[in-house]
Amino acid sequence: MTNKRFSSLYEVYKLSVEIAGEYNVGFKRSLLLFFISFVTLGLAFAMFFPLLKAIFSSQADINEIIYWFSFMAFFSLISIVTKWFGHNFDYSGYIVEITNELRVKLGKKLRSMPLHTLSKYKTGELNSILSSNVDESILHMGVVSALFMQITVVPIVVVLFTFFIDYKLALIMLIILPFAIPLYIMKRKVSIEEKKDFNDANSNLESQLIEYIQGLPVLRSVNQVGKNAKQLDLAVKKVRTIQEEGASKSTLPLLIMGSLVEIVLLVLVFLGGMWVEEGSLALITLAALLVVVSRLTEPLTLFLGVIPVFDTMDSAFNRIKTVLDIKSLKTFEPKQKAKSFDIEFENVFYSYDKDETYSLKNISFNIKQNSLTAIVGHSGCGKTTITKMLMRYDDVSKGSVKIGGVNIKNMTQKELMKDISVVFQDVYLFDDTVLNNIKMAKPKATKDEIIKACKLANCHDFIQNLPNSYDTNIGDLGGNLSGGEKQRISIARAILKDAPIVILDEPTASLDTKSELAVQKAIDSLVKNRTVIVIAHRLSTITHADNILVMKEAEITQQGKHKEILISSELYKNMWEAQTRTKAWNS
Amino acid sequence: MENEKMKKSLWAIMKPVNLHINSAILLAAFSGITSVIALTFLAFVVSLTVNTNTTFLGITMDFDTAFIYLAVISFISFFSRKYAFIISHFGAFKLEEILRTNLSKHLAKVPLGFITTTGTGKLKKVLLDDIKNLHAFVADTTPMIGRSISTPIASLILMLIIDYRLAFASIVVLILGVIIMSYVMKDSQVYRQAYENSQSNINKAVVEFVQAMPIVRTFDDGTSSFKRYNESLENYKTNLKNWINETGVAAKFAMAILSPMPTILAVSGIGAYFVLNGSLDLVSFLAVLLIATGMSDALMPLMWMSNFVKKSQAAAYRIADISNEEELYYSNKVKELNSFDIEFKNVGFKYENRDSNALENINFEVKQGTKSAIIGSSGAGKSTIAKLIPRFWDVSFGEILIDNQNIKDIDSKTLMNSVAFVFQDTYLFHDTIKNNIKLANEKATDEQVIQACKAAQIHEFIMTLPNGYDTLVGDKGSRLSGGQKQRVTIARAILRDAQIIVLDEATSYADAQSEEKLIKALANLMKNKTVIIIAHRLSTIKDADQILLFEKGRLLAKGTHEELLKNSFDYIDLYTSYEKAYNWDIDNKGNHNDK
Repeated sequence: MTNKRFSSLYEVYKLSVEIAGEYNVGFKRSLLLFFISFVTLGLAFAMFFPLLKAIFSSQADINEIIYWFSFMAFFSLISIVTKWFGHNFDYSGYIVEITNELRVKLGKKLRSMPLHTLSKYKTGELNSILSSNVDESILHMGVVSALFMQITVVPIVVVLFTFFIDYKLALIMLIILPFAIPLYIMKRKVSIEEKKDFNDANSNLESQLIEYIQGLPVLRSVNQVGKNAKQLDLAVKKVRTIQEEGASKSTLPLLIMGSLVEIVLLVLVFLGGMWVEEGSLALITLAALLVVVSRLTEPLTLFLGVIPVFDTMDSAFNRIKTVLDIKSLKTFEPKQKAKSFDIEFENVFYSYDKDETYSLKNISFNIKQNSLTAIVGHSGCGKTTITKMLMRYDDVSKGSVKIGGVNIKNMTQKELMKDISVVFQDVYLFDDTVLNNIKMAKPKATKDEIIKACKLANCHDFIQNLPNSYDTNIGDLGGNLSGGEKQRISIARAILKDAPIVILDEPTASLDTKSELAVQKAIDSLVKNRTVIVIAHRLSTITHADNILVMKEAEITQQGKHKEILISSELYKNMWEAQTRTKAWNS
Repeated sequence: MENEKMKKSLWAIMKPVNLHINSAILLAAFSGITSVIALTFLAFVVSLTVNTNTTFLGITMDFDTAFIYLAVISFISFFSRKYAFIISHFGAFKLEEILRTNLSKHLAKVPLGFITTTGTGKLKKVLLDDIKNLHAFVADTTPMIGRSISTPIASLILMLIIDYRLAFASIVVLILGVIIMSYVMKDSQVYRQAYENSQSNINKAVVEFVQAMPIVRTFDDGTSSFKRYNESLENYKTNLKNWINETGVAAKFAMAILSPMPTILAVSGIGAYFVLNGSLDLVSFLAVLLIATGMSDALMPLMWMSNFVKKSQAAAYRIADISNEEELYYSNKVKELNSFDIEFKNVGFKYENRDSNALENINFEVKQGTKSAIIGSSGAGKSTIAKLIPRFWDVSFGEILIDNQNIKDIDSKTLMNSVAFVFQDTYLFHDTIKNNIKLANEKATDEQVIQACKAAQIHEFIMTLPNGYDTLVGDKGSRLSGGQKQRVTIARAILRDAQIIVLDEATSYADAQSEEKLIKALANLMKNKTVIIIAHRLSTIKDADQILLFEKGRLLAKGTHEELLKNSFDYIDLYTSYEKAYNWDIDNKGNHNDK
């Protein structure tokens, strides 16, 4: 997470305009309207000078009073009307359009960014970027910009006007009011610095808490809750201590700023009073000035309340921008489609994070169409990474991946994924009917096609037994589908998709035993006459493979048929023997 | 009804810092009042510069004295505001600490099942976010409430005292504004509801879209999922627009009428008239001009505040939900167990939020030192049974006995010392491997830890790590493979040396090379203990002293492997499929005939 120094006002303005997208004209227009509104407001205030003078002059002239009063009313009216229209930006749907568009843009980005980058984000993070960050950054755009204008434009207009009335008074205001700026900067700096301490203590608390909650079963089973609870207590107390220290420090600048106007008033009364007494200033001028200055308290108070909102806006903007700036996977010309389904990896090297070590080194192999290839090896050796490269999770660092002679970089994601079906261990089901969940594999499928796929996948029966059969809503099942049932739905999807290449990622791990047989039958249906790549742990399941790739530490050490590598690969032989011993115990 | 409950929760939860809150509100209110007084006095002081005989509200003073009074009142206002702020913040800090400490202590005593069902995500949200929300409420909103209520009232009263006519002028403006506003806001409730509904829908749509993306993209480029997402967005957009259109006018109108100028114009105009006809002097006019907007200025913040209050109420409600969960009752009657026979007597169990029984009429015995295997299809109730023994939940009917004592009567320490459970979710702390294992027995020597690890077949692996036993485990043990994590957990259980072992054998084949080691480790763990094991391996089942076959929450059959092969069709069925599954291999040439 970037903890860069807070953006300057101008940077925020630029970001706002960028985020406003095609509506930035409306945004700028509303800013202009606000500007006019506050200039005229300042002028309306300024009318107090001549107005009060007219009211209290020894020869009060009704017409003169009406004259100045009308001006004041006129300026006020313009101010109110322009503000009304300025707020149209937030109140007539522009904001809504912008948030909508932003979400659409972000959604599109999610679809086109490399899957690898996608997986680096925790789901919670992305969720909050697309929902709350979008709202936080945009919803208050209008109000916040209006406030900024108000506290800058109005005082400036007032001070300018005062110069014409009495330069001494203007000077006083000029000296004191701008104190708001360094106070504001100081306050933000202080709050961000102490924020670091606070953030550290807070994230420590957060991780302590998560550990505590997740580890409770273990802790309770060993009667150790007390000790961990003590650690947690310490973290909680530390947060409190830091907060208390910080509070004393930061309240002062904040409150001085809030009372700035009152301080100005006091100074004005004192000095002004002196000048009135010695005759160099008219009482009525001083009175008018006091009324005008007191009008400045309201926006200042609101502004103080807005600072945290502003900070939130700032960081929300930045998070959104980071996502939008992610480079999408590019399809290189000439765009091609694969016509046959041999797979070829040629001298492939890949490292996940460009400067770290390679997760794949010099991987080369050929897979003939309709053959069965297994990848075996210890955890972390790169098996899954190979399949990821085939799906173009990310681009290889060196070498090439080809399907039917076509480099996958020349295929659109859509074309590529059309040719590949994957059966993962985790099955994602969304809150819709069972039918639609399966249909996602082939949106245009008819119900008959779906049922056929389910029969082959051995899940038709249990689906029929659900409360509403295929129309049962997954959410209503309350997670009551077993691992095996979910796995079979996943296989049904793959069967329905009918892609020529099938990737099975440890398909029989974590299954309940009763459905294991059912799942196996389903897999049989799925792999028939297709090009299959299997990541296998149970070596006994892949003895008939046309080719087995034995992997160790990012490289392929041996490849060949089962009998061949039993001899040529020490690693494979050891794995096989260990598993055979285990198997013997079970018969 | 929901709202009533929520309101009560909020104030109830803030009770521990009532003193802080009330003081903050009072001080803030006092600050508001004194600043209104200061403004009024300001007018008086100013006019004293010219005419020291000015009387205002019956007071006479010279300029210097008056100025000092003014400065003092201003400082009082300033300092009471400062202290209101500090007190409210300190109150918030205290409340945070109290709530977090109490809730975490509470979580240590509620049924473990509650924690696993509620989920760490939700618990985390409550303990972190919801409490933070309350912090903001106590720290910022309470003093605001104080000030926003006292300022308009003080302004009104003072205006009435100074010149009731002008007071009426400003009230009229205000009332006019409120009337028009409420007229325009008539239907907003309906739209607000629609808006809030679509808010939660949009969050749902986003979550679904985001979570599914990695999977969805393996099917297509996300077109159909994107379509659904888009539809939710459009829906949200329409609802939001409607709401804004309906309430936008009212909001803009409110801002217009409640802005200072209308009030000031009214007061200036009418005041000018009275000055001209001699019934109003400068001081009074000036004073009213300074405080007239006190009422309208306070209304906007009050409106914003109701929003905060709502959010905090919802947070308080969620917090209360958790703290209201009943703690497990331990009777502490039985402090020692002499034997470790387990008996389930007519046990029935129903999850809180589900309709049907998860378990019904379960009766079986496990004699000390024997091994019972629980088998059955998923959803049959296997892990539920296992979890009832360490009291993850209490049974709904019947009893579970150890040494002929109801487990509810057994002292919690004794129970936990007697029952070790090894389940699928192996949790390792962000600490050294040694400390993770030593959790099981703080007093264990290093030698004992090593012995346990050797028995668990993990010692060799640990010795290959950079710092051996002192290596730090990554968050949630992420740097170990599934099989390795399991063996560390087994080492813990071995070190614990409890007499009863409850074990879920799952995640077979997660880790091929570990398989052999895992089996050895389990064998060592179960030696000479009373064991209940949710079995997945053929060997485990065949070796068991007793097999318990479950289906849909009922115990279908019990006996040894040989007995069941003779007596139970269900068992034969299940066992045959185990065997078939075991002998399967992947074949894409369609060479399998139906085995």
